[in-house]
Amino acid sequence: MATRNIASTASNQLAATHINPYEMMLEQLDLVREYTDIPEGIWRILRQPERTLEVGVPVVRDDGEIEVFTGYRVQYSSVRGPCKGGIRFHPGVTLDEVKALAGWMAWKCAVVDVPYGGGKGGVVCDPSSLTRREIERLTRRYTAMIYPLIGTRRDIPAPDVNTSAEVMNWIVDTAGVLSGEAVPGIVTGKSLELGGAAGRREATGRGVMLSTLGALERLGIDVASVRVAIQGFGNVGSVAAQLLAQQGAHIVGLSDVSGALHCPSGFKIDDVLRYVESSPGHLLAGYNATGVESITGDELLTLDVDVLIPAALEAQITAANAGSVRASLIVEGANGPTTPEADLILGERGAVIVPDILANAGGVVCSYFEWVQNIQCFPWEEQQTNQRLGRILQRALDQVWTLANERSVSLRLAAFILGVERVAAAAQMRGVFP
Amino acid sequence: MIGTPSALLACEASLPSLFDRAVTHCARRRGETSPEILRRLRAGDPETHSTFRYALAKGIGEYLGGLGISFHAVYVHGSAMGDAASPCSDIDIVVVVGHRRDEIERLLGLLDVGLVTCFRMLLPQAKAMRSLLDVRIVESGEATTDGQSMTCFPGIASHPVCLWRAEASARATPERLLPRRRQSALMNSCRIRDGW
Repeated sequence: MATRNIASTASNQLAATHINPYEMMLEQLDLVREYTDIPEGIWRILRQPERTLEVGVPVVRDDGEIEVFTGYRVQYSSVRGPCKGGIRFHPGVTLDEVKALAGWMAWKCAVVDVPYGGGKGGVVCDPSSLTRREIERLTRRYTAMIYPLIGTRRDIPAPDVNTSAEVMNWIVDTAGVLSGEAVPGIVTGKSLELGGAAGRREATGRGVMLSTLGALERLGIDVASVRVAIQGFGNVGSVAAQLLAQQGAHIVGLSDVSGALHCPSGFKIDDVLRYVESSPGHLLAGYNATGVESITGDELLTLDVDVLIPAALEAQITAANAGSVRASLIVEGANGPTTPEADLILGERGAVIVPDILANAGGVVCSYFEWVQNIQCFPWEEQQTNQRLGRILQRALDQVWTLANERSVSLRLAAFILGVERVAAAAQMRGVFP
Repeated sequence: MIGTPSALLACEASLPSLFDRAVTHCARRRGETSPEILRRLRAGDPETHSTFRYALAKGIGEYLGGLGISFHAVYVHGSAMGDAASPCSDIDIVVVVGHRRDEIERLLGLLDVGLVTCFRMLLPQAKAMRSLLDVRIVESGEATTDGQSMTCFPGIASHPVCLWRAEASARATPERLLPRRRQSALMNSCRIRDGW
């Protein structure tokens, strides 16, 4: 009895402990510092966001009641260009989370060398409890509240968790009304009709495919000989599957929330896509073809494949299953699919991991293209977008790969180092005002 | 957080469980209850703080040891080995690895962030602490033995006590070089201190 009481006490007090994501980001920065010679003063600049804004967002609910939501916009760094980063609507949003994500965007934009800084925004709300009209009013008022910070040359929001192209459309409209002029470049991820970029939906998946091809080439592996398993069959996974299959890869494992499938001889991806498109929930469940068998989600991760692309949720490859992962190349289509423990275990085995900051950067690169087209008032053909995306991502992979070899570090750390060093270099060149 | 980028992903270690076990260890040693131990910790009792840190270090060693072949051994030294730790003392740990890798540094750094967050929750007077672990990563070849056949690590004056050691990699650790009698004494000192 006494033992049970003892055992539960610390747990009870720590049950609600929330590990601060901003502290985690700073910890990663400190690790990078050991591998760089960034001056102390510049380091102090990098450890703090340039600007944070907290706003009260009053919204008239459909029943006439007024509710006030809390929103944030953080501009972490603008030394390389206007701040760039999404806006999320979620009940768990905190200022420190937004600060950490804004910093992450600064390093991510720098890794792929697009002329952006890092920003992020969020509103503490549960969109599932709001009607569409309420979400529109929330979006418009939030836009008005952060309007002093955002702008085509200042800070450019984009979709994120629970925010869609429709939400971006409302932001463009609200900003246009407030400024009295057309400002399509104030957000990216808009609908095509309002200045969105052709190829934007496929960009992250295309980037995953390009990262995979680039890594295979550097490892001396012929794409036509590789077997690939992909976890997640949404915008990222399905596009990566289709494009890799077009390059000759054998996609032998697929999964989504409805289950996982294994086809040792390789899926006919166009068939799978047609099925998913026509199925009620747009899911893989029920797909059947010769040689296709159902497996569990865990089995998918440990299939005998050469390439594993986790393109679903974070923390999927963990200490519990990393030892059983047989792929020698892991390309992180999702954010954070590999836990730090799994990273270590996979590294012991010599597996190569193309990190999320690089592998899923296709989206932000295409956002940059959308912004450029908006500024130029000159839309590109999708083919042009894809070609330019390919060039930027291949260059970034080259640079990260070279840095990893030069400094004998993982690709994950090399990408982080590259991003942070670029931001630091820009900060140093600018100097300190006044 | 949804869509957590890798740089913001916490380590998997069950931190409340590590803290529970450390409190349980202190309670058993003192014949007291867990709330009493927490009160002692909050009152800044140096002996309880030392024992608590030792137990926490032991749990960390076992957690790291469970992750595979990266880690060869984990040692503790400093205030956790005495009876004079303060609420803001850190835990001095030496982690022996085959080869230094950034993934190891990263994991240990993230583990520290989690541990210090929990520690600050338990002890209001530790609110300003930014780090709980002071980790030295040492490659197995860097460890030496002194004239008394004790394991020494570069830059550490005291003799760290082994908390955990990998069976399979024991051949590569410096303890293999110790006389059998000395090895046994060292292991016994660990067990006596443990009391798990």
